[in-house]
This record gives sequence, structure tokens and C-alpha cells, in this order.
Amino acid sequence: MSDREEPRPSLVSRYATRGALIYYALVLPALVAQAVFSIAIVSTPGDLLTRAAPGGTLVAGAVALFPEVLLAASVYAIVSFRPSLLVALLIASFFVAASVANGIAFLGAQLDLGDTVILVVAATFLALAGFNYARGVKLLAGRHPVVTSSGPFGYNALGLALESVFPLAAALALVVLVETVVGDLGAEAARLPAPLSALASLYLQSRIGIVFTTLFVAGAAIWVMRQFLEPVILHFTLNPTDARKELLAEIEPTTKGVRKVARYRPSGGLAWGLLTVAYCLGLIAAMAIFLPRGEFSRDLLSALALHAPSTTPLEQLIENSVQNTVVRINILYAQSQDYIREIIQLLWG
Amino acid sequence: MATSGTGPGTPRRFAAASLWIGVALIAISIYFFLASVTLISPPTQAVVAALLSAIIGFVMLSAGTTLVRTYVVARVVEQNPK
Repeated sequence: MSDREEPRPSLVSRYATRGALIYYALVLPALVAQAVFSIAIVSTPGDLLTRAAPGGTLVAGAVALFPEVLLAASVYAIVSFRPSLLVALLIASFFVAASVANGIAFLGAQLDLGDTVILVVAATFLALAGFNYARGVKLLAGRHPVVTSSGPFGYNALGLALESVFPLAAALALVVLVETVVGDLGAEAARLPAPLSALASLYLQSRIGIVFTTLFVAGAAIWVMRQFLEPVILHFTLNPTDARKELLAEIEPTTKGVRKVARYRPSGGLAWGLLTVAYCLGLIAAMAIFLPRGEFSRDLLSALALHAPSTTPLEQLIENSVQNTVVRINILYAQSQDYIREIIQLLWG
Repeated sequence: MATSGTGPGTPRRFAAASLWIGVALIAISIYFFLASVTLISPPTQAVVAALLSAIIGFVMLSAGTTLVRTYVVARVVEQNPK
């Protein structure tokens, strides 16, 4: 151990460098978007949670603290370099705001669903770029990066395009595609056969329906993009070690099944016999413990002597209550049948 | 040729057929996606048929890309034996 230890950097010198400021600037839109969504959630009058919960005051107080808690969690995600947590909080706040809030306003202007989706996509993209930049700064640790290349200009242009232009273009194309498809779905739903057309139109007119449909279409588009890109990226980046791991992971379910079949040995039935005896003993013990004193032995003796056991007042009470329950269930079943018939008549006439 | 090994008697370890079948399935899935768009556009506007066509496209795309992915992974492993 050396006598001369390097002085530990101060908090300001660690978190207020030029690179850190660029990182904060890139993740700032995500924080702003979360603040907008959380304020919209809190400022919605007659909130569903407040009305539904038994302790309305407590829930109202918890909802009022929602923006502060959300921002604190986001700041923690930024400081501890957790991009997935920040993006998850952003998308969750967007989802709740789009479902619950009456309107989302930003700097006095009302945002519709398309605007909020664009805001979320842009903020997510910038936040991920910020985390990528911060990771590079941490890896360099003060050293200057080599950003010049001696290769052909075409390769440099291709590298830049794949690194920066392609993700941005893909994100923008995704936004345009999702907005177009969701916008057209309303018109297409009206052409479905009845009663599907009415049900689909009503679903697409609700905010929950729009949010779920948007998420579904976006998920499907991302899945298709991934399906096309994954083999290409694997072809250029996969090394033999990772390839072996991938292959083993692919055949693992099959090998597990084969091993299970190979190890299977039929038993002689002794275990089942023991289980049955244990089950019967457990039943007898439960009856001896929980039945009133003397009743178990009396019923047992009556059963062995082939005489019908006499009914005690407690048993009569239980029998009456069981019969009442059966009658109540029959009435409820008949009522539910009537409700289902009414719904079918409403839908199909 | 999608064989590995050096000698003429070396058995074929991975088949290029899986690659070409995967590519063919992807091409067919694109055809079904385009058919879905055509079916939903005027003057046809057969929504149910378009939905079915899109679902067939998704299934074929999944199958095709799985085949291509497995081919790529197996090729890397076979070209770099331990």
C-alpha cells in the first residue's frame, strides 16, 4: 500500500463535470415528461382511486405525493445509471395518465394521445442516448476518445448511420406507423359484422382501448423489426462461445424432457398405498379433533352397529343452513341465466 | 456450399436448406402482410380476411426468422469447433 494516496474527488467534481452536464441535459426531457404526466394524474378531479378506496383521505394524500415520489425514483435511476428503471417509470406514468387523466397539458397547450406518444418516444430515445453517452464517459475515465478513423469514407458514413441515424429513423418510423394504424382502426372497426363492429367501435372510443391498442400495435411493430434485425446482427456479432450457449439454451427444454423420460421408473404402488392410508388417518384425526366431544365415537359405533345415527341439534342446524344455501344458489343461478339471455338478446336481437 | 469439414467424406453438419426455407417463409410472410393491406384497402375492405392474413404473416415470419437464426448460430459453432 502506498503512502501517497490520491485525494478522493469531491461530490461537485464528480457530478458537475462537462460530461455529466451533457448527460443531465439528455435525460432531462424524460424527467419533464414524467412531471407533466404525474401532474395530469394528480390534478384530475374525482379520481377513481379516491372514490373507490375505503380510506379516501389516505389515498388522496398518497396520490398528492405521486409526483414527488416519481421524480425521486427517476433521480435515483439517473444517479445510479439504471436506464431500464427510468424508461419503465416514464412509460408507466404515461400509461396511468392516458388512462386516468382528463387532459394532459404542457406549457399551457393541451396534448392529445399522438402528441404524448411522440413526447414519450422522443424522451425515451434521448434518455437512452444520454445513458449511452454517460457509459462512454465512465469507460474513458478522463482519457480522450479516438474519434478519427483511417478507413474509407464510406465505412465511416455507414458506421455513423448505423449508430445514430438508423435508431432515430426507426423510432420516428415507429411513431408514424403506430399513429397511422391506430387512426385507421376506428374506420375499419365499423366495417366488421354486427355486433363486433359496435363492440370494437365502443372499445376504440374509450381511452383505455386507445392506450391498449396503441401499445399492442407498437409492440407488434417492434417485434417485426426485431425479427428482421436479429439474424443480421447475430451474423455479424456472434462469437463461438455465445453461439454454443445459444444452441444449448435452444435445445435445453428438449434435453430436459428426454432426461425426465429416461429416468422414469414405474413404482410398485406402495407410495400410493401409504398416501391413501395417511390421508384416511388425517381425516379421522380431523374429525376426532373438530367434532363435538363424544360425537365422533358415537357416530363411529353407530356406523359399525349398522344403526342410523341420531341427529343432534347442532347437526340439524348445519343441515338447515346447508339446505338454505343450496336454495339461494339455485335462485342466483336462475337470475344469472336471465341476465345472460338479456345480454344475448341485446347483442344478437 | 453449406457444408463444413475438409475432406470429401466429411458429413454435412448444417444444411443451407434451413436458410433458404427460412428466407422463403419470410418472403411468404411479407406477401401475406401486403395481402392484408390490400384486403383492408378500398374497394375490397374485407376486415376479417385482412386480420387472418396478418396473423398468417406473423406466424410465418416467426417461423422463418427462427430457422434463419438457428442456421446462423449453428454455422458459427460449426465453423469454430473446440
